[in-house]
Amino acid sequence: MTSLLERARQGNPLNELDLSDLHGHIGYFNFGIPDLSLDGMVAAMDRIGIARIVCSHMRCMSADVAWGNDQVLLAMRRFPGRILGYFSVWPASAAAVREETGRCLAHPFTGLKLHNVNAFSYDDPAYEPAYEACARRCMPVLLHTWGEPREFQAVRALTARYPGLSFLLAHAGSTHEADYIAIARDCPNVYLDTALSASPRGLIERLARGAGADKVVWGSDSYFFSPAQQIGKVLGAALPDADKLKILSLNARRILARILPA
Amino acid sequence: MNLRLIDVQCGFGGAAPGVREIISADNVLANLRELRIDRALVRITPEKMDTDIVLSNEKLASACRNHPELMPCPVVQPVCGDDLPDEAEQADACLRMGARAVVIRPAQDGWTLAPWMADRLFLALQERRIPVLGLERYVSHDQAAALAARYPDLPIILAQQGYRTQRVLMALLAAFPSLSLSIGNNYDVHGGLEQICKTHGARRLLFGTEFPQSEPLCAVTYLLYSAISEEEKQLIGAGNFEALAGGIRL
Repeated sequence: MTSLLERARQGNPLNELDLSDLHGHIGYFNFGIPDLSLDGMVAAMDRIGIARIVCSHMRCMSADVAWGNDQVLLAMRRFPGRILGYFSVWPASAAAVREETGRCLAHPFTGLKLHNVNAFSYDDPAYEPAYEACARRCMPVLLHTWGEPREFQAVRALTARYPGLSFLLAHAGSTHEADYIAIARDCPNVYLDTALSASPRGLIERLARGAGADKVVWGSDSYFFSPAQQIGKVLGAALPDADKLKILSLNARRILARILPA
Repeated sequence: MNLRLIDVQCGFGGAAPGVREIISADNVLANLRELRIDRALVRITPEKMDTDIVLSNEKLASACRNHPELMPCPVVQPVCGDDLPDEAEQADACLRMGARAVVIRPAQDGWTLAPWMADRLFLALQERRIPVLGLERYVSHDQAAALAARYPDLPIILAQQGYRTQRVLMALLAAFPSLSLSIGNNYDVHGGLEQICKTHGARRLLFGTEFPQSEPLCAVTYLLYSAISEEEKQLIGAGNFEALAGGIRL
């Protein structure tokens, strides 16, 4: 059988592997991203053989979350089953978060995405209504992280409080690699997301060997990064194809299968 | 698709603080074999602890001597008194060792790109049409533009460009025909290759991986899964660098 690396080296699509990208974005961002179209995103997925991508909106890093969530919903409707959605919330207050969460979960969103560029900790009390609602549905929560101790502290507290949630730590290994591995080993519901521009050689192997290949999930961070470029770090990793398949497909399938219907 | 590849962003032999592993030329060769990359333009990397370009260039030449797959990319710099051979002699020495490009590291090696300091060096390189590898951390976009304006016949390869730089790169490529871009890490913007090919032509792009710092397959999949023609992929994969190297005046 042809190895995944060899198939990638030939540029062959990997359609039958049911690949899932658990970290995507749609929408405009201030530095130049050449192709902001949904058609372009799905065409890029088709060339690689990515079955689905779960996206939030770029504006969901700001207070314009409602507008951004609506854009994600439109994308989900335009490409059902291919573009799935994370909703996001702005922690103005617990009441505001509860309202936006309720509004979004009336639609088939897949999970919650939070970014701490707003300087609020992930265990800020205002976020609780969102976590509670997602926990009832066993949804994944994608958190932007950059290896900061306060991020790990917050996630450890949240995993204890919400065992039903799957926490995906974006940009695993960006810094403090050992701390990422430790939290994924310690917490059954914490997963390490691979999205990282630099793609350091050996990082995927270290994450998979340290935390277990069952605890690493692939995210491209597209539109920021090209999924074609980001998938190379997994396909090229010095790991058995069985582990690469877990990272690119099986772990995501398990996380998504846990989600309970409304 | 069996695409021929030449890696212009690759290296070995350097040390970095806190990193025990030293990548050897044999490691590079093994990587080339695994990914079926024909040849690589290699420099000493990481360069953080490299303080002797004469020794490093000799080490590079020695490692490449018996391996035609490896093309040396030595370091050049302006002279300070008589500490190095003069700039023209450095350029000739690079060619004698088989170099197909040179790399500049002004901040690392204690010089600036200002013409009052570096004019003799760049004139010597331009006269010989030796491509210059300009890594983002050493050559800012403004500096690359200034070099390209002052030395229009000097091929300059921009490398290690970040995913936030597309807006600037598009303008740079439009303004200065002597600039080309390596697609190696950290250049990984969504739709980047397609936009450059469409606007400036595939001849402005070169294949690079940033091995050993980065996972080399990323650049391979970036190129192979992009929405450009097979002919454009062939140019980026190997043809464009062969044309640049073929333009060197020996």
